Amino acid sequence: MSKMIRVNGRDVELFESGTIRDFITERKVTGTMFVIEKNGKIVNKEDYDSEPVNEGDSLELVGFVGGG
Amino acid sequence: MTRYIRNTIIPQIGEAGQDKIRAARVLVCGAGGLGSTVIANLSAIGVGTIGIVDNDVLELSNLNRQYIHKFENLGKVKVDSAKEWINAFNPEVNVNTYPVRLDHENYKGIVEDYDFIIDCFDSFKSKFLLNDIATATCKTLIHGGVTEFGGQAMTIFPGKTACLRCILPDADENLNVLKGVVSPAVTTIASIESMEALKLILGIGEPLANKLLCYNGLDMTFKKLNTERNGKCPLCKNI
Repeated sequence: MSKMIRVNGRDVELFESGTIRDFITERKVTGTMFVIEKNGKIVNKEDYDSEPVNEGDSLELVGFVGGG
Repeated sequence: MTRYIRNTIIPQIGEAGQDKIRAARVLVCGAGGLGSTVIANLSAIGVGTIGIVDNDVLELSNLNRQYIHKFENLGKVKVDSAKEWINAFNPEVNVNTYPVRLDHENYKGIVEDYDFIIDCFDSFKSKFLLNDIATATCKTLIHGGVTEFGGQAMTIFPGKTACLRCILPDADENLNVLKGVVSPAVTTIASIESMEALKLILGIGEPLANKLLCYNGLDMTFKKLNTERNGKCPLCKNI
Protein backbone atom coordinates (compact mmCIF):
# COMPACT_ATOMS: atom_id res chain seq x y z
CA MET A 1 0.00 0.00 0.00
CA SER A 2 1.44 3.34 -0.97
CA LYS A 3 1.69 6.43 1.19
CA MET A 4 2.08 10.10 0.49
CA ILE A 5 4.82 12.07 2.19
CA ARG A 6 6.69 15.32 1.55
CA VAL A 7 10.29 15.11 0.39
CA ASN A 8 12.21 18.37 0.10
CA GLY A 9 8.94 20.26 -0.07
CA ARG A 10 7.33 18.12 -2.76
CA ASP A 11 4.61 15.47 -2.55
CA VAL A 12 6.03 12.00 -3.14
CA GLU A 13 4.28 8.64 -3.28
CA LEU A 14 6.17 5.81 -1.63
CA PHE A 15 5.48 2.11 -2.05
CA GLU A 16 8.03 0.24 0.03
CA SER A 17 9.20 2.65 2.67
CA GLY A 18 8.36 1.46 6.17
CA THR A 19 11.54 2.94 7.63
CA ILE A 20 14.11 5.56 6.76
CA ARG A 21 16.38 2.74 5.54
CA ASP A 22 13.63 1.57 3.19
CA PHE A 23 13.16 5.15 2.00
CA ILE A 24 16.86 5.43 1.16
CA THR A 25 16.70 2.17 -0.78
CA GLU A 26 13.50 3.09 -2.61
CA ARG A 27 14.91 6.49 -3.57
CA LYS A 28 18.21 4.86 -4.64
CA VAL A 29 20.28 7.12 -2.38
CA THR A 30 23.90 5.94 -2.34
CA GLY A 31 26.94 6.73 -0.22
CA THR A 32 27.00 8.12 3.29
CA MET A 33 27.44 11.86 2.84
CA PHE A 34 23.87 12.98 3.36
CA VAL A 35 21.55 13.79 6.20
CA ILE A 36 17.82 13.26 6.55
CA GLU A 37 15.55 15.44 8.60
CA LYS A 38 12.15 14.03 9.53
CA ASN A 39 9.46 16.40 10.69
CA GLY A 40 11.96 19.04 11.76
CA LYS A 41 14.67 16.90 13.36
CA ILE A 42 17.70 15.18 11.84
CA VAL A 43 17.45 11.41 12.16
CA ASN A 44 20.53 9.78 13.66
CA LYS A 45 22.14 7.40 11.19
CA GLU A 46 22.03 4.65 13.79
CA ASP A 47 18.25 4.89 13.78
CA TYR A 48 17.68 4.51 10.03
CA ASP A 49 16.65 0.87 10.37
CA SER A 50 14.02 1.57 13.01
CA GLU A 51 12.79 5.10 12.37
CA PRO A 52 9.38 4.77 10.68
CA VAL A 53 8.17 6.73 7.68
CA ASN A 54 4.48 7.40 8.04
CA GLU A 55 1.78 8.89 5.86
CA GLY A 56 2.10 12.66 5.87
CA ASP A 57 5.67 12.79 7.18
CA SER A 58 7.90 15.57 5.90
CA LEU A 59 11.46 14.57 5.03
CA GLU A 60 14.41 16.70 3.97
CA LEU A 61 17.16 14.78 2.21
CA VAL A 62 20.27 16.92 1.93
CA GLY A 63 23.70 16.07 0.56
CA PHE A 64 26.69 17.10 2.65
CA VAL A 65 29.35 18.72 0.49
CA GLY A 66 33.04 19.07 1.12
CA GLY A 67 34.43 21.64 -1.26
CA GLY A 68 35.96 24.90 -0.21
CA MET B 1 37.94 55.28 13.49
CA THR B 2 36.60 56.75 10.25
CA ARG B 3 37.41 53.51 8.54
CA TYR B 4 34.91 51.61 10.69
CA ILE B 5 32.22 54.24 11.15
CA ARG B 6 29.67 52.19 9.20
CA ASN B 7 30.33 49.44 11.72
CA THR B 8 30.27 51.58 14.83
CA ILE B 9 27.06 53.46 14.04
CA ILE B 10 25.25 50.12 14.36
CA PRO B 11 23.91 50.13 17.92
CA GLN B 12 24.91 46.49 18.56
CA ILE B 13 28.52 47.32 17.64
CA GLY B 14 29.50 50.85 18.66
CA GLU B 15 33.02 51.71 19.78
CA ALA B 16 33.02 48.92 22.36
CA GLY B 17 32.08 46.35 19.75
CA GLN B 18 34.75 47.60 17.38
CA ASP B 19 37.29 47.19 20.19
CA LYS B 20 36.16 43.56 20.51
CA ILE B 21 36.59 43.08 16.78
CA ARG B 22 40.06 44.60 16.93
CA ALA B 23 41.01 42.32 19.83
CA ALA B 24 39.72 39.19 18.09
CA ARG B 25 42.09 36.46 16.93
CA VAL B 26 40.60 34.24 14.24
CA LEU B 27 42.17 31.21 12.57
CA VAL B 28 41.12 30.72 8.94
CA CYS B 29 41.89 27.20 7.73
CA GLY B 30 42.15 27.36 3.97
CA ALA B 31 43.03 30.35 1.77
CA GLY B 32 41.14 29.17 -1.29
CA GLY B 33 37.52 29.84 -2.28
CA LEU B 34 35.83 30.06 1.12
CA GLY B 35 39.00 31.52 2.55
CA SER B 36 39.08 34.38 0.06
CA THR B 37 35.72 35.77 1.11
CA VAL B 38 36.21 35.01 4.81
CA ILE B 39 39.60 36.73 4.79
CA ALA B 40 38.19 39.70 2.87
CA ASN B 41 35.24 40.04 5.26
CA LEU B 42 37.31 39.70 8.43
CA SER B 43 39.80 42.25 7.12
CA ALA B 44 37.02 44.65 6.17
CA ILE B 45 35.31 44.56 9.56
CA GLY B 46 38.66 45.11 11.27
CA VAL B 47 39.52 41.82 12.95
CA GLY B 48 42.80 42.46 14.73
CA THR B 49 44.61 39.19 14.10
CA ILE B 50 43.99 36.66 11.35
CA GLY B 51 45.86 33.38 11.17
CA ILE B 52 45.84 31.57 7.83
CA VAL B 53 46.67 27.89 7.36
CA ASP B 54 47.21 26.51 3.86
CA ASN B 55 50.04 24.65 2.18
CA ASP B 56 48.81 24.98 -1.39
CA VAL B 57 50.29 27.13 -4.11
CA LEU B 58 48.11 29.25 -6.36
CA GLU B 59 47.03 27.61 -9.61
CA LEU B 60 45.26 29.10 -12.61
CA SER B 61 42.16 26.94 -12.04
CA ASN B 62 41.72 28.56 -8.61
CA LEU B 63 40.97 31.95 -10.09
CA ASN B 64 37.33 31.28 -11.02
CA ARG B 65 36.55 31.97 -7.35
CA GLN B 66 39.64 32.76 -5.27
CA TYR B 67 39.52 36.45 -5.95
CA ILE B 68 41.94 37.81 -3.34
CA HIS B 69 44.79 36.18 -5.24
CA LYS B 70 46.33 38.06 -8.12
CA PHE B 71 47.11 36.51 -11.49
CA GLU B 72 50.74 37.49 -11.04
CA ASN B 73 50.88 35.36 -7.88
CA LEU B 74 50.40 32.07 -9.74
CA GLY B 75 52.82 29.56 -8.26
CA LYS B 76 53.10 31.48 -5.01
CA VAL B 77 52.13 29.95 -1.66
CA LYS B 78 48.52 30.96 -1.02
CA VAL B 79 49.08 32.16 2.53
CA ASP B 80 51.69 34.65 1.27
CA SER B 81 49.40 35.78 -1.52
CA ALA B 82 46.55 36.21 0.98
CA LYS B 83 48.77 38.17 3.36
CA GLU B 84 49.78 40.43 0.51
CA TRP B 85 46.10 41.18 -0.18
CA ILE B 86 45.31 41.89 3.46
CA ASN B 87 48.32 44.17 3.89
CA ALA B 88 47.29 46.18 0.85
CA PHE B 89 43.63 46.39 1.89
CA ASN B 90 43.91 46.90 5.65
CA PRO B 91 47.41 47.26 7.09
CA GLU B 92 45.96 47.41 10.62
CA VAL B 93 45.32 43.66 10.52
CA ASN B 94 48.02 41.44 11.97
CA VAL B 95 48.48 38.37 9.78
CA ASN B 96 50.10 35.11 10.83
CA THR B 97 50.71 32.57 8.09
CA TYR B 98 51.13 28.82 8.42
CA PRO B 99 52.16 27.24 5.08
CA VAL B 100 51.63 23.71 6.39
CA ARG B 101 49.22 20.85 5.91
CA LEU B 102 47.40 20.75 9.24
CA ASP B 103 47.53 17.36 10.94
CA HIS B 104 46.96 15.67 14.27
CA GLU B 105 50.39 16.75 15.49
CA ASN B 106 51.19 20.22 14.24
CA TYR B 107 47.87 21.83 15.21
CA LYS B 108 49.00 22.15 18.82
CA GLY B 109 51.33 25.01 18.10
CA ILE B 110 48.79 26.85 15.98
CA VAL B 111 45.21 26.54 17.21
CA GLU B 112 45.82 27.58 20.81
CA ASP B 113 46.66 31.13 19.79
CA TYR B 114 43.19 31.82 18.42
CA ASP B 115 39.71 32.49 19.78
CA PHE B 116 37.99 30.23 17.26
CA ILE B 117 38.45 28.48 13.92
CA ILE B 118 36.79 28.92 10.55
CA ASP B 119 36.69 25.90 8.23
CA CYS B 120 37.58 26.97 4.70
CA PHE B 121 39.27 23.70 3.79
CA ASP B 122 38.39 21.93 0.57
CA SER B 123 38.03 18.22 1.33
CA PHE B 124 35.97 15.97 3.57
CA LYS B 125 39.17 14.66 5.09
CA SER B 126 40.45 18.07 6.12
CA LYS B 127 37.03 19.21 7.34
CA PHE B 128 36.64 16.20 9.62
CA LEU B 129 40.23 16.63 10.80
CA LEU B 130 39.39 20.21 11.75
CA ASN B 131 36.24 19.00 13.51
CA ASP B 132 38.42 16.61 15.55
CA ILE B 133 40.99 19.30 16.34
CA ALA B 134 38.29 21.72 17.45
CA THR B 135 36.85 19.08 19.73
CA ALA B 136 40.27 18.17 21.16
CA THR B 137 41.03 21.83 21.92
CA CYS B 138 37.45 22.88 22.79
CA LYS B 139 37.68 25.65 20.20
CA THR B 140 34.51 26.84 18.54
CA LEU B 141 34.46 25.83 14.88
CA ILE B 142 32.52 27.55 12.13
CA HIS B 143 32.07 24.92 9.42
CA GLY B 144 31.35 25.57 5.77
CA GLY B 145 31.31 23.39 2.66
CA VAL B 146 30.45 24.04 -0.97
CA THR B 147 30.00 22.22 -4.26
CA GLU B 148 28.58 23.34 -7.59
CA PHE B 149 25.71 25.77 -6.82
CA GLY B 150 25.28 25.39 -3.08
CA GLY B 151 26.66 24.36 0.26
CA GLN B 152 26.15 24.20 3.98
CA ALA B 153 27.28 25.89 7.18
CA MET B 154 27.13 25.06 10.87
CA THR B 155 28.70 26.41 14.05
CA ILE B 156 30.04 23.86 16.51
CA PHE B 157 30.60 24.43 20.22
CA PRO B 158 32.48 21.24 21.15
CA GLY B 159 30.87 19.32 23.95
CA LYS B 160 27.81 21.55 23.85
CA THR B 161 26.34 21.25 20.36
CA ALA B 162 26.36 18.75 17.52
CA CYS B 163 29.68 18.22 15.74
CA LEU B 164 30.15 16.92 12.20
CA ARG B 165 30.55 13.36 13.45
CA CYS B 166 27.29 13.61 15.40
CA ILE B 167 25.39 14.01 12.15
CA LEU B 168 27.72 11.95 9.94
CA PRO B 169 29.20 9.21 12.15
CA ASP B 170 29.75 7.05 9.07
CA ALA B 171 31.36 9.79 6.99
CA ASP B 172 33.36 8.65 4.00
CA GLU B 173 36.18 11.11 4.57
CA ASN B 174 38.27 9.87 1.68
CA LEU B 175 35.55 10.58 -0.85
CA ASN B 176 36.92 12.68 -3.69
CA VAL B 177 35.17 16.03 -3.83
CA LEU B 178 36.87 17.41 -6.91
CA LYS B 179 33.67 18.76 -8.38
CA GLY B 180 32.94 22.08 -9.95
CA VAL B 181 31.94 25.07 -7.89
CA VAL B 182 30.98 28.59 -8.86
CA SER B 183 32.07 31.75 -7.12
CA PRO B 184 28.58 32.94 -6.05
CA ALA B 185 28.00 29.67 -4.19
CA VAL B 186 31.36 29.92 -2.45
CA THR B 187 30.98 33.57 -1.50
CA THR B 188 27.47 32.96 -0.14
CA ILE B 189 28.56 30.22 2.26
CA ALA B 190 31.75 32.12 3.14
CA SER B 191 29.71 35.22 3.95
CA ILE B 192 27.52 33.14 6.25
CA GLU B 193 30.65 31.86 7.98
CA SER B 194 31.89 35.44 8.27
CA MET B 195 28.62 36.59 9.83
CA GLU B 196 28.82 33.74 12.32
CA ALA B 197 32.33 34.92 13.20
CA LEU B 198 31.20 38.50 13.73
CA LYS B 199 28.34 37.35 15.99
CA LEU B 200 30.74 35.23 18.03
CA ILE B 201 33.13 38.14 18.47
CA LEU B 202 30.38 40.51 19.53
CA GLY B 203 28.37 37.97 21.51
CA ILE B 204 25.17 38.89 19.75
CA GLY B 205 22.52 37.07 17.72
CA GLU B 206 21.83 33.37 17.40
CA PRO B 207 24.67 31.20 16.12
CA LEU B 208 24.05 28.26 13.81
CA ALA B 209 24.47 25.92 16.76
CA ASN B 210 22.57 22.66 16.37
CA LYS B 211 21.49 24.00 12.99
CA LEU B 212 22.77 22.83 9.63
CA LEU B 213 22.08 25.62 7.17
CA CYS B 214 21.78 24.27 3.63
CA TYR B 215 21.88 26.59 0.64
CA ASN B 216 20.73 25.70 -2.87
CA GLY B 217 21.52 28.48 -5.29
CA LEU B 218 19.48 27.00 -8.14
CA ASP B 219 16.24 26.94 -6.13
CA MET B 220 17.47 29.94 -4.11
CA THR B 221 16.46 28.18 -0.93
CA PHE B 222 17.99 28.21 2.53
CA LYS B 223 16.95 25.40 4.86
CA LYS B 224 17.91 25.16 8.50
CA LEU B 225 17.92 21.53 9.59
CA ASN B 226 17.67 20.89 13.31
CA THR B 227 20.51 18.81 14.71
CA GLU B 228 21.45 17.77 18.21
CA ARG B 229 24.33 16.01 19.90
CA ASN B 230 24.38 12.31 19.16
CA GLY B 231 24.81 10.14 22.23
CA LYS B 232 26.58 7.62 20.01
CA CYS B 233 28.92 10.12 18.35
CA PRO B 234 32.28 8.40 17.83
CA LEU B 235 34.06 11.65 18.70
CA CYS B 236 32.25 13.74 21.28
CA LYS B 237 29.88 11.39 23.12
CA ASN B 238 32.11 11.40 26.22
CA ILE B 239 32.84 15.09 26.55
